[in-house]
Amino acid sequence: MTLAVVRPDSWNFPLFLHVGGAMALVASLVMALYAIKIARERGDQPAAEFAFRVLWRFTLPAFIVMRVGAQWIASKEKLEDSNDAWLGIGFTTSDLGLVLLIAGLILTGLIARRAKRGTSVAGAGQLRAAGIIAGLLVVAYLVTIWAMTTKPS
Amino acid sequence: MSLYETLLFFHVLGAFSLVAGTTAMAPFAFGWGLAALERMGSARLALIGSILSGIGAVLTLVLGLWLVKNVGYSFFRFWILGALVLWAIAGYSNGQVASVARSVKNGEDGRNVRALWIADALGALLLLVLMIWKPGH
Repeated sequence: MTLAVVRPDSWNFPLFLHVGGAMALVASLVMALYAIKIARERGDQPAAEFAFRVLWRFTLPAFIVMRVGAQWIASKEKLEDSNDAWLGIGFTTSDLGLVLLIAGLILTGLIARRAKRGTSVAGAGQLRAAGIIAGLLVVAYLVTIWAMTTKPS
Repeated sequence: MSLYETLLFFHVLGAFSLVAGTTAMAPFAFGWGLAALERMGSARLALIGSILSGIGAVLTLVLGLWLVKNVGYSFFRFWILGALVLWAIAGYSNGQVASVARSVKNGEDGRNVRALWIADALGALLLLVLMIWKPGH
């Protein structure tokens, strides 16, 4: 039998923000993958703009909520200077994830601008790259979920 | 990994899958991105979402109950019973949205499913609240 750890009440809201933000982040990436696929197939302005908007209006805000929640709960638990592997995995995927997310935003933003000028972006390499980035982020966050739940030391 | 850690990982993974699936149904329910996805595309995305939600629903319920037993919690706590009720409400609403998406994909006119989607999303949100605050524990 495993004894459940009861956490102080003051930790609940930061944890809620962190987990809720992380769930919205992964959900938005799943939608972004589909939107990028549609944009690659159709190559018109609405499809390209939709792919960019999903990342800009949904993924980025979700990332910010998740990251603020992570820092807040780490500070509550006094884990900021901890060397635990699970925290390292979390902060690494979060920080590298932001870089990848910005790259995805730039790529889809440029493509949406090109589509707005009337040029077809069907099959564009930038959209393929953006799709790979979104896929990599999903995989990285799955590893992070594993690290956060099993807490390898 | 201990049994507890394995169960917790797949339980939480299921919750992420459930939320991702529900989110994927939002463009269909609200008509978001219609110019990009078109009605058929949003119905297809909603059906992908219903598969994700279905997998998530099974994982959260089965492994959640297993966790309750593994950790030694009593089943008759408010947050556990409340979670079961919310799970049923979210699951029913999700199934209804999926059924309308399926009929649209088959060329029929779909009815308005906004209220059903909101019930589904609220159910998932309140489930997370219960899992974190554990009222009545």
